Amino acid sequence: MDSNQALDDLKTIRQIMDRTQKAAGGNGGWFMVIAGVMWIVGFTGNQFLSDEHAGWVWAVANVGGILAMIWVGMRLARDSGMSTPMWKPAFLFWIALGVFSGLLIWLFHVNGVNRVGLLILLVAAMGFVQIGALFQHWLIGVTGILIAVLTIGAFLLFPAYFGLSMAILGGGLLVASGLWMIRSGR
Amino acid sequence: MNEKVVDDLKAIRQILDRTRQVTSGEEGWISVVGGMIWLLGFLGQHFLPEHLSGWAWVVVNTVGLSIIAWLLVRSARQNSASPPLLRSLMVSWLALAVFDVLFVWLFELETGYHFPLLALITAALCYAQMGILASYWPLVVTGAAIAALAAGAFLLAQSYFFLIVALLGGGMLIATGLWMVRSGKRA
Repeated sequence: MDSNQALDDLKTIRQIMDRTQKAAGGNGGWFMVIAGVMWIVGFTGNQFLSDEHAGWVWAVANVGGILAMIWVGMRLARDSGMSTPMWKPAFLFWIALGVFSGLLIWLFHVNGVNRVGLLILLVAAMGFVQIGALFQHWLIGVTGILIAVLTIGAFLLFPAYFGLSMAILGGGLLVASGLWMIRSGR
Repeated sequence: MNEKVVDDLKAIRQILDRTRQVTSGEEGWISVVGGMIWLLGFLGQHFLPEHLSGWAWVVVNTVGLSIIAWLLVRSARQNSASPPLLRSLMVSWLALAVFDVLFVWLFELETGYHFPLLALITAALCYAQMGILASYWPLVVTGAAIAALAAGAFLLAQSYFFLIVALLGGGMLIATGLWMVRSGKRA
């Protein structure tokens, strides 16, 4: 590859990234809002309900949230007139993080609602930072760092209110960042 | 907008094909060096007494990571398209490393088998993620194999954990790297 070809490629990539960032900003924002609502519902259940009932609340929140994400994804694909190939790697990327969390819980015997919650939230925060870095969408990366800091702070300083803290701060942060992205995308 | 999207996708695919042909050689050598680090470090951990195996890791990591840094710098100099991508990858890998440090701290991991197990599972995730994002499936398969191997060795053959990880994990990284170098040359 000669240097002229590389420079042409760089220019093309930069133009495409600018267009994609503008277009994807709004779309990605909806997914963050849905994830934020899932966290608010799930972690509020953790705080106020028994473990068994909180488990059911999480199951309902997860199923509802995933269905909502699929619906939003299909609508966005329909509106743009084609299914974008970005959904597949993004989906597989989060599946890989899910498998990673599962392996850590299993192999290192992570147990207890707060500890499992802490692990999952830290993995999610790491995923946000990675996505932010790889797609150069720095708001997503900063959201990930803030989630990690809030999660660790709540776990260490207010363990009795971990669920409530994560519902309000973590979920609220995701919803707010998502809404901000949708607004700036428009 | 649709025509523009299709044009963008065609352009990206062409650029990715060119970049993959150029970079797979460099990535391959990095994988080979990473494999050598694992092979020598874990062999030392299996066969040497604890105080010596710690020093073996220090030497192997210092030499190996220096070679990897040199390969990355050389790759960045040869290919002007690399630095922004390299920076993104570095931040992504740094996030993984920070996660590991936080995990060790918050979940009070014991030394011994737990540290290498965490390192292996994290490395497996790293391979899988890079493979997914680059649509380069051999990397995903390598990541899945490393995770399965690490979990299997930890649960079923703990006294041979380091030896298994050295031979199979390190060997797999070296083999994948050599395969990437070869396919890069062929392209």
